[in-house]
Amino acid sequence: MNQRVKVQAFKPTNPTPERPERQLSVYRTDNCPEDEIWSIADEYVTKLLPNKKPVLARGEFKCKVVLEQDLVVDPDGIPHPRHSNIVNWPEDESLREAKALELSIKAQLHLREETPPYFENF
Amino acid sequence: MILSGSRKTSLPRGSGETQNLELNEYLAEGKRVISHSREPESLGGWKIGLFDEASEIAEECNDPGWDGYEAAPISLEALRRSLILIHALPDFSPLPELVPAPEGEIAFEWNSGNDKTLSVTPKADRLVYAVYLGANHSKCGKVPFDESWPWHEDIMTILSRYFQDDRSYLLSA
Repeated sequence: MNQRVKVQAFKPTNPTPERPERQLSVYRTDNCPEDEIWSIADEYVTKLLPNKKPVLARGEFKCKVVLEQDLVVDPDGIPHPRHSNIVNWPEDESLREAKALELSIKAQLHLREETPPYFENF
Repeated sequence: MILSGSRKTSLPRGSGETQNLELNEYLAEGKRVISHSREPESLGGWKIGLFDEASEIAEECNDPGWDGYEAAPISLEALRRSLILIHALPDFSPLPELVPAPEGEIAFEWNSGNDKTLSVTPKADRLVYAVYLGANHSKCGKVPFDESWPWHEDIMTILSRYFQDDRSYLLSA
């Protein structure tokens, strides 16, 4: 399998009445220890998944890559201080596909070294 | 029923459990036709694995918010589209990666060893694609999705020209 973060992982959310703006949820990892990064993933990503499967990989990219795509980083700090949303996605679906692809090209894949225990109860 | 050797594919349409049953029959028939007429794996048997993979993706992502956010569930209709596209892949096509898309579809992704990437997300009546071929060389767009000729020539041209080891291979119309 090609060791790259998939394009689809960089697509923004579908708009909803509660959240009409398309956004891609990200967490800043600058100066963040590796174990804390995975801890954030376990607490704020895995727990949102219906199947609660642990995060086994992540894609990292520089902020400038986002800006080069005419996207905007909104550091809302919710639910974690390091959380941001990437917004200002175009309405045209093919342009969104292209921007997601550009982000995936520039992202570096990081695999988790140790698979965490399967989360069952919260 | 799938007509062996033909580009025409059709799935019986139905709703709910009937459609689910028909899809399972389609999967079984598709695998039988492919395994019977296109062995060994180098000649097309690899599609069986893609059929299975698409089914697994649809099963794992059939809940709203399967990505932890607002992802749309992958419907039977979306699975059906992906199966039609898999079946219609030319034998020379490099192996795609199937990926669940937040729009509730099963997307196709090809990567070459030199950073070229092609992403295709099917929709009800169109294929949305984006391709990266290098710095200052990328393209995106949408083309009609027609079940009788699933892969639009624009996408097939990109696939054959940039994602094949042997670029002298000519596409047959």
